[in-house]
Amino acid sequence: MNIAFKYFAQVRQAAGAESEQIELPDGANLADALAGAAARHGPDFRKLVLDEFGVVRPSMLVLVNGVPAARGGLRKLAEGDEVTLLSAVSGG
Amino acid sequence: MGKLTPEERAVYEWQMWVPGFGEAGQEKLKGASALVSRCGGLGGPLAQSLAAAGIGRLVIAHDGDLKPSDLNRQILQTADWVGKPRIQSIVRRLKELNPRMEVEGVGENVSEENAGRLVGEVDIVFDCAPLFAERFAMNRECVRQKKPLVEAAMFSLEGQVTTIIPGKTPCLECLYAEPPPQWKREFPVIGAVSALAAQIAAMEGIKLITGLGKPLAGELLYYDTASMTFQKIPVARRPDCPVCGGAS
Repeated sequence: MNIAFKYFAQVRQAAGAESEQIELPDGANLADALAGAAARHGPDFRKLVLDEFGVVRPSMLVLVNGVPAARGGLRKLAEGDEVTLLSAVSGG
Repeated sequence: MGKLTPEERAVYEWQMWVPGFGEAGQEKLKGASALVSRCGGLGGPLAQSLAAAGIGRLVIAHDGDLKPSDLNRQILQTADWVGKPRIQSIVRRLKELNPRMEVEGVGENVSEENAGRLVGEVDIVFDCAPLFAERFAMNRECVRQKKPLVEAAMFSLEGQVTTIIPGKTPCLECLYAEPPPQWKREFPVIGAVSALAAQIAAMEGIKLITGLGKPLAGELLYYDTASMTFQKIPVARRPDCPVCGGAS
């Protein structure tokens, strides 16, 4: 299935892209999808979005089709879903 | 709420022409108090706009001495002040702009120890802090004391602003429950980018205080100045949030 990704803040910097489409196996969940994106973008991206156990980090705001997803990344995805990733930023 | 003096009517004449604002809105601003933490590239222009708009009282929390690398964005500082306490310049510059306003300069950053007291002194809080420990401490206190919290942040050419209304909107920990793993205290930013987030946050506060317009409640405004893209992202409360999950 084809999943659309949109990246913001540090995730965008780590991915080197604002958006992309990634082909994933049917039945993939959110954590699978982010692992797929991490396989494409390397260790910095992976460390930013997933912990050492492959769980989506609580420092990430993840939306599926514009709706915030439950933490952990177990949400199942479907063909055409759009995943939005924002990382926490601060002031200074 | 205090009645306006003839001097205040003259100073705020143009903004009292704004539909829905008027003298009643100005009086609400005069009667309001806000905490700004901290007062650098974000909090500086934000505090300046609140002062110019006529807020009655500002509490500013900001520790440390001015460094040359602050001057690209900290517009309440001056080049001749390097090496001296930032808070002194902040208070002086704000009072120069609005001598009618009460300003309390606190030469320390928000922490677990002082967050309850500082949040308790004001009607509304503006989170402009660089350290997530400060941001989470303010969030917890604002939820506990049911005070609105305007969250403003930036990175590189991008910014994020949202307004937290305890019991109604997601709190900061609903959005981000911990700092990013590679977070660094010093990060890339252009002063105009942080000032933009500051002005949006200032308007959020003015709206909340006066009842004007519709705040960014349950929405996170994201902008990217590289492409001048602005978009609102819906955000929702998490029932299992350890900070606001049970709040109503």
